[in-house]
Amino acid sequence: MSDNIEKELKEMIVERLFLQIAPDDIEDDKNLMETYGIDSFSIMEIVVGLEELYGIRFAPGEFKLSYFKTLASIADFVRAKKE
Amino acid sequence: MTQNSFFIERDGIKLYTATFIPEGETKRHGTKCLLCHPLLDEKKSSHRFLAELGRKLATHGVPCVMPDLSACGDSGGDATHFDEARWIEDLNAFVPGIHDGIEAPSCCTVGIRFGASLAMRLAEREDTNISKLVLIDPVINGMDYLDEIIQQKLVREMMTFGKAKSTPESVLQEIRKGHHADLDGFTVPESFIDNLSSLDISNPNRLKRCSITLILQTHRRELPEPHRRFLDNCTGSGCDCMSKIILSPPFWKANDICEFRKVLDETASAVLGK
Repeated sequence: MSDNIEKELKEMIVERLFLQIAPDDIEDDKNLMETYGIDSFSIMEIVVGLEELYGIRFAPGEFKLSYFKTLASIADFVRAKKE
Repeated sequence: MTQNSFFIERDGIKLYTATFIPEGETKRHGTKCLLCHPLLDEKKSSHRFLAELGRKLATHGVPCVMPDLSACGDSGGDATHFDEARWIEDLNAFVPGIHDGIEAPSCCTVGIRFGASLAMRLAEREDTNISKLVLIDPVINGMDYLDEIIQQKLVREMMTFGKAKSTPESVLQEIRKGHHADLDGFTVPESFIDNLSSLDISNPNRLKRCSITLILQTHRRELPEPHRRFLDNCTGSGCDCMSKIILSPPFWKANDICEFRKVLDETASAVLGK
């Protein structure tokens, strides 16, 4: 599937979390918590960002840490929700 | 500037209070400032900001009082005192200067998040004369706020256990069964959910004419729709309104010590009328 989800996610994360890096500097497979110091408040920001960007509502049972491990895992989650 | 702290007793509960008093009567600005803290973890994250604000305003001649509301911080009370109406009475006790000894011709109120919503409710009272409100990221709608704090609880569970053990429904059910739910490590009673379901400050029809400054720390460059509508309605009620957007992470969300100099300066300027 050809889409811009990774690019959109990187821009959203950098903007909402005020990261002092360029969006393209986020590597798809790097652990977000270990590499960028993302904590529970940052994940909450990403959750709200996903709601605003894609209209995604987290269903009961979807608050799983594995979905937020890397940029790629968030993108996979978004694609699965959009299907 | 002198900083004091003491307890007062109101309705059987001991309320902890800090005051920030300017040196010398002659330097006084003519207004006092009541500082209203937010709830739950946001209170902890805001404490340093409010204390710094109190000190800064006092050095500019504005005496400040910073109470801990019932069942919050160092004040007494249990989950049954975790109640919006009670908190408004707590704040109202400090407006006339009876309990804190700070008498001034006018009163400005600075509130953060839920504390800002309480400040709005206080300003709507017939018997209270608030001339200026400085609202930092006010909670406009109680149910949206409840969604947010429940989601925060689920994210915390997810960080600890790998996945959330609760669901929004199970948290609400637990509270509705008469149990006290644990939100952010705080015990919250069912009545608080009722408080939130009736909280909507977007259309303040009982607000008396006053000056309102809305301060948002956000990644957005424009006011979100609920905040814009809120300010439009306040303007329609005859209030003199303005807004400031500060592009930075909100200090009231921070887990660690964070930089808040810009929002502190903007808040102090709004109180001092600069």
